[in-house]
This record gives sequence, C-alpha cells and structure tokens, in this order.
Amino acid sequence: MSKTLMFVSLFALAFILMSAVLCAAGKVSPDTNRLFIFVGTIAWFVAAPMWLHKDSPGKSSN
Amino acid sequence: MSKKKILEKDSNLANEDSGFAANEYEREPVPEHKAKGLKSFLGLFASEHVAATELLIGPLFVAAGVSAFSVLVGLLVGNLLAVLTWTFITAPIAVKKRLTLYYQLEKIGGPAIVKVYNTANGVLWCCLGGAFIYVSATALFGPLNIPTPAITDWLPQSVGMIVVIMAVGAVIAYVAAKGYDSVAYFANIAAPWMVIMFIIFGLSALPELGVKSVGDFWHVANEVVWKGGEPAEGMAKFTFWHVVCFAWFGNMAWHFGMGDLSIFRYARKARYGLASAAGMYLGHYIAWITAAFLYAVQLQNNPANTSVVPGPMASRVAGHAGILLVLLAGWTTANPVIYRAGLAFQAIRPKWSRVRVTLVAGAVACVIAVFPGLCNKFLSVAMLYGLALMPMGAVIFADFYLIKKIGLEEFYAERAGNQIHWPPILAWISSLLICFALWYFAGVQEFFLCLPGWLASGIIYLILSKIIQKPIETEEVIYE
Repeated sequence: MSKTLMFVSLFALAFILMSAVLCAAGKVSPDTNRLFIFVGTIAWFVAAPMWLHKDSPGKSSN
Repeated sequence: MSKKKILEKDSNLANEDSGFAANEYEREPVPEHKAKGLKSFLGLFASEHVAATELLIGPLFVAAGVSAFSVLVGLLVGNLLAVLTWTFITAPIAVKKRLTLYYQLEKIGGPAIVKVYNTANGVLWCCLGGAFIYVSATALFGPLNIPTPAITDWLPQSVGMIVVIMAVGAVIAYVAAKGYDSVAYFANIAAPWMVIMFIIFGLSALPELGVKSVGDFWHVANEVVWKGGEPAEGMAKFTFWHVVCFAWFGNMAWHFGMGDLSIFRYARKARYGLASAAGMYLGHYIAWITAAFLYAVQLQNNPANTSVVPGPMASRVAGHAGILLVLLAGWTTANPVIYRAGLAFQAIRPKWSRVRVTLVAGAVACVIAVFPGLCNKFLSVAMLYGLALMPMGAVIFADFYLIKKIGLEEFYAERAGNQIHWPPILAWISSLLICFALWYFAGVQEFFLCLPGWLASGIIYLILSKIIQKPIETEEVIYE
C-alpha cells in the first residue's frame, strides 16, 4: 500500500513537471498547464501524507 | 519552565524543525554515534532554503536594474563562496566542538551575552516573520480583488489589505502560540512539492516571455527579464558585485555568524558543509531566477505594474497551485519564526507566559507585515539581519582558531566563572558602530559591510581579550 502511495505521489510530481516542460516546448497551452499543475498538486497532498514523514506529528515538542 | 530550560529549548529549535535530535545535547557535545550522514544535510538544506522570501528576492533583483550576466554568473560565484564558508569556517568548528552557538557563546562571554543575543534575535525574527506573513497574505490579494501596493509604497494602500494581512497573521500567530507541530509536519510534506513548483514557475513562464527554443534564452534573459538600466525608484543599482555579495552574505547569520553550529554539530565530517550547495543552488539560484521570470511576465503584461507582490505573480503563471504555493511558503516559514521569537523574548523574563509572549511577537510581526515597504526593501533587510548577528560568529571563530595562539584562554567566561566577559559584547557593539560609520560617513552600501564588520569584530575581540583576560590559576578540563 505504502509503495503504491509513494508511486502515486511521485508520479504526481513527475506529471506536473512534465506538464511544465511540455508547456515550455509549446506542446501544452498555458491554461491546460495550469489545470494539470493543480490536479497534480491535489494528488501530491492526498497521497504524500500517507507515507512521507508518517511518524513525524508529535515528535517536535512545544 | 526554568530560564535555563528556555535557553536550551531556544537553542535547539532549528533541530526540532529539521528532525535533528530534538531537545538533546544542548549543554554537552553531540556524541560521535549520534552523528548523521551527508544525505540528512542535503535534505535539510534543500528544504530550508526554498522559502517564501525567494519570491521577493528574485523580482527585487530585476527591479534593482541588474543585468542577466550579473545575476546568472554572480549568483554562481556568490553561492559558491557561501558554500565554501559553511564548509571551511562553520562546519570545522561545529564538528570539533559539537556544541550549539548558544552554549559556545555562554562559555566565551557568560550567560548574560546569550540573553542579549536572544533579544536581538527575537526582534529580527519579528521582522522576518512580518515578511513571511506579508508574502502569505498576498496569495489572497488576487481572489479578494485587493489592489497591490507599488514598489515605492511604504504604507498600506487599502483597508482590505490591512484586514487580510492581519487576519492571516492572526491565524499564524495563534498556531505558533498554541503549538505548530501539525504545521511543521505539513511543511515537511510540502517541501518536495515546493521545490518542484519553483522549477515549474520557470518552465511555465518561458513561453510567455517569448522563449521558443534554448537558443532564445540568452536574448530573452537580456532583453526581457534582466534588462539592466536604471533601478526602480528608491532602490540601489545592482552590479555583479552586489549580486555576489548578496548571495554570499544573505545567510551570513548562519555561516559566518555560526548559527548553523547547531546543525553541523551532528555532522560526521566537516566536509558535509558542502551539503549547503543543495540549498544554495536550488533555493538561491533556481528559485531566485524563476521568481524573476514571474516578475518579468507581470512587467511584460503591464509595464506600469512594478509591484512586487508574489500572490498575483504566481497565480498568473501557475494558477491555483501558484496561489497555494505562496500561501503555504509564507505560512510554513512564518510559524516557526514567530514561535522562536516568542521563546527568545521569554528567555529575557522566564516568568512571562510563552503563549502570551508568542502572541505579542506575532502581533508585532503582523504590524510590520502591514507595511509593504519592509518587503520592497527586503534586499537591505536580509543584509541587516546578517549584519546584526555576524559579530558573534567572528568571536567564536577567533576564540576557536586564534586565541590560544596569542597565549590566551578559550572559553574564558566559563573558566574564570564570570557571569559576563566584556570583550565579546564590546566587539559586537564596536564592530556594528564601525559598519554604521562606513555606511553613514563613507557611503559604503549595506551589501558590502558584512565582511569588514566580521573581521573587525574578531580583531577587536582578540585585542580586548589581550587587555582584559587575567591568568586563571586552576584550569578545568573541557570538551576537546
């Protein structure tokens, strides 16, 4: 499960990076690029907390 | 909470944020088996130096009338000098002594000097917190149709702007006062995305700037982004040497100023200082350059719109994700800074409630954030931050490398049992006075004062130590 989530979140980062590369190359319009970046961002913030720094909350004291 | 405990906790905050053993070894050397590998430092620097203020610095370079060559080559050189300073000045002392900046200062100058240092740090953190709150609040300027302040504005331009900044600042201060564990956790989650987002800013802005192929880049960089010429009203004209010095001394409080002793005391080897390159070249090269692209797109769309307001700039190029980045970059950096400011002030009087003191520090940061002049002058503010704290780094350097060579004692306050040892404090004050005199009477800009000030502080400390130190009859064995 953890590996799947890791794949999803890393794929999301790769996806938005690729979208920007294609935008820079003129293959994707700026509007579509903005939409792809937003979708990838949501995917990252949904998937990454389920595996990245999973044990971190509460470690730092206040 | 005892005063000693507060000082210890403050000194260890950087470690809490970064995951480096929290609340450990504040008053003893970090043991060898607790030392960390190179990978830990690469990750730490990469995430710490891609922050909200990069969105101000890149555009302000453009507004300062800098040329493309000065930025692209000057940043390479300046960041290299910063990395070498961490590697050959800061890290060797950290690895040899394995003590925090605060504990070394206490040993050299007595407990009183730590109190003075904390006060100065608290005030400066409030200013930095204000800048972060401002950046975060600008994310809402576009969606709420709030007019953006011009680059020459010192005062807020609308009631709406004040209300939004105060509201964002109040939330940040409240979270900092109540405990920002969840924000620190969220910041760790967001860090890789933030780094990628800065790269995306640059790539997405290229076609809007007219870059159709790799061959177009140099022409666009010179003719569209960094055109040189006259700086914006009220700004210093930036040259190659301004860029080099800004990149080198932008983090002076941490390398020459020895703030990162707290981090590198965990390093296995001093050459791990090279890991700072991850932060410098991702945050202070790529992020500054791509943030400049955002500003260039804004100027291309409307040459009259010279305001440096990150929210609308990021939104124009990256849409909702850009707005989210500005909001989170400001928020996740403002929280720990205000928390640290609260702790620093509480160290002055331990009876004060930390929650209340943090709320007061947050309120001060909010008031500062309301004035866009602070962020419009951020290049100077960043220099003054390093300038104010760097003399203590010179004292630690001189105490470590030079003081025994002139026949004197290192860690004199501890060995002599003094509550206060005057040479470090006098070196601090007099080196800042020298810097002020150079600025006021000789017209030396703040970007070029750091190195002379640092050298002056070290030399003054050694001269005063030679005059004031008396032989100590019984020597203690200290950490070697």
